[in-house]
Amino acid sequence: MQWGFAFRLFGQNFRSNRNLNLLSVGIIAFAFLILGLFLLVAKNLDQIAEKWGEQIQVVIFLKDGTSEPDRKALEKKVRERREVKGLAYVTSEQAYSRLKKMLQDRASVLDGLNQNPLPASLEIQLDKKYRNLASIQAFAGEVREFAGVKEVFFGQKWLKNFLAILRIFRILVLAIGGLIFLASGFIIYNTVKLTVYSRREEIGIMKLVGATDSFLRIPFLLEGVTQAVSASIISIIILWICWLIFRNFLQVPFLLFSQAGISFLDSGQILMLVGSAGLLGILGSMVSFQEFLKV
Amino acid sequence: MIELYHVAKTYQRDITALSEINVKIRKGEFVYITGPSGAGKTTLLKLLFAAETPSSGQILIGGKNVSRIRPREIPFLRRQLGVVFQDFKLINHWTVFQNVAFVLEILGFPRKDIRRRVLQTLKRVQLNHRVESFPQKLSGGEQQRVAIARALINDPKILLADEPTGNLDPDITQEIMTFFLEINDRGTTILFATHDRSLIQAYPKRVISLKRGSLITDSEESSGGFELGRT
Repeated sequence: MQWGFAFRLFGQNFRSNRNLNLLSVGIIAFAFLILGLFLLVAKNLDQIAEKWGEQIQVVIFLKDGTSEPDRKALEKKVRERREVKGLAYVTSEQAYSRLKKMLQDRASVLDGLNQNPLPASLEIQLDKKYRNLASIQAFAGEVREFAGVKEVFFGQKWLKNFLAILRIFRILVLAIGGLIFLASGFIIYNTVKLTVYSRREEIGIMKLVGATDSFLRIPFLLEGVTQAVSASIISIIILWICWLIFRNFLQVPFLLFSQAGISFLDSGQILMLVGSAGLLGILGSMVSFQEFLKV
Repeated sequence: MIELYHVAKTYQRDITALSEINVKIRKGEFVYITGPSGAGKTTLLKLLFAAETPSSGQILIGGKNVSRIRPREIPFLRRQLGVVFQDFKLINHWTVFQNVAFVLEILGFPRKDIRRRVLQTLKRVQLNHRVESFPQKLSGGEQQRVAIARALINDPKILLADEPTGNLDPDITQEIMTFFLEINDRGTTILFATHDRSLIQAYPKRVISLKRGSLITDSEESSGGFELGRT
């Protein structure tokens, strides 16, 4: 295989069929723009869900009169658990003043109390991996047996609903994303096929003068890959420009929903988009080229 | 050089393009294949450069059985042949140089050698002033000369021509014929398909006549110079 010539042939073809190639790149870029936009929306919604997920907390109420060394020992024991990402100790006084703050104008209802009824507690933030009902239940069950623990609370009903909604959301993202990916693949395949189809006569002539299939395949593969990859890069650039324009309008509503700001696709996602474009380009040109080889 | 034994080609079971063709062509011969449209001239040539496979019979080119050729061997057979078509079959967005050079590119010749040989061959067909032109800017005769240059660049032992003068006016036809005769004088075997009787009369050579897919006369056989079909 003469690679040098294959590359020159590819360059020659690309230049001489510039209009068709530009059209193909445009169509593929449009398909990728839709896919990229979907990824961007899904990513930001997922970030909101993630933020909400961080609020999943397990609260361990301590028995009254737990001594400082006992409390510290318990804290150490809990901190060592793999489920625990963060831990905060809330004294009974802190809990009381929080409650007072929450009640605002109605704080006077607390005046009737002779003493602070709220127990000290350990507020636990869970590691992402363990933010599911089964893990939390197991964790709570085990911690409940630790010395000095009065009660363990994790808002079971709320958690159940939240996790169910999250699961549905992620399934929807996967399904819609999959569909858009398939549609993009189909568009790319057909566009590359169009390029190869416009060259069927040329392929025939080259074969008549003795070119082997493998010799001819290389420039067409290169063309398919170049079309798809450059289209994906163009679509990312367009998406990024739109992002710069609309980011400020979107930031506020997003912040209202959660503390998560909005963000653009990360480098991994961009690489994945470009990589899948390359793959689809290779597949598209290989399959369509095979159809026109029978000369 | 080329031998056909009981060669037949049928399409879709009942359309016969060729039947019972027995021909032997010696090295260095110039042979016309003639007959009206639909006689089977093009099919016969297609069988020789393996664009079609015979339904039955054997085809030997230089001792190699082409009728049983495997698909991946076809390009290598074609590299030993030169083929010229009525419609030239040039790649229009390539220059004259690129169209001719392509044959050597696929053979892996160094670029320097390619340049030298292409310019030499284009000079031979008197197109050295058109090296960087695109085919569509050329006259029919010039386009056919590019096609001939492409067919000759690799010094093939056999040149197949399918109505190469079919699209050309008489003056250019004469010019092209002169090229073919020169090429033949240098030892290349030529099979020249044409339905143009006046051409055959102007440049008499061995004539194989086909009609509705059957061989009806072979001037070689009738003059007794070669025993045809007795294999």
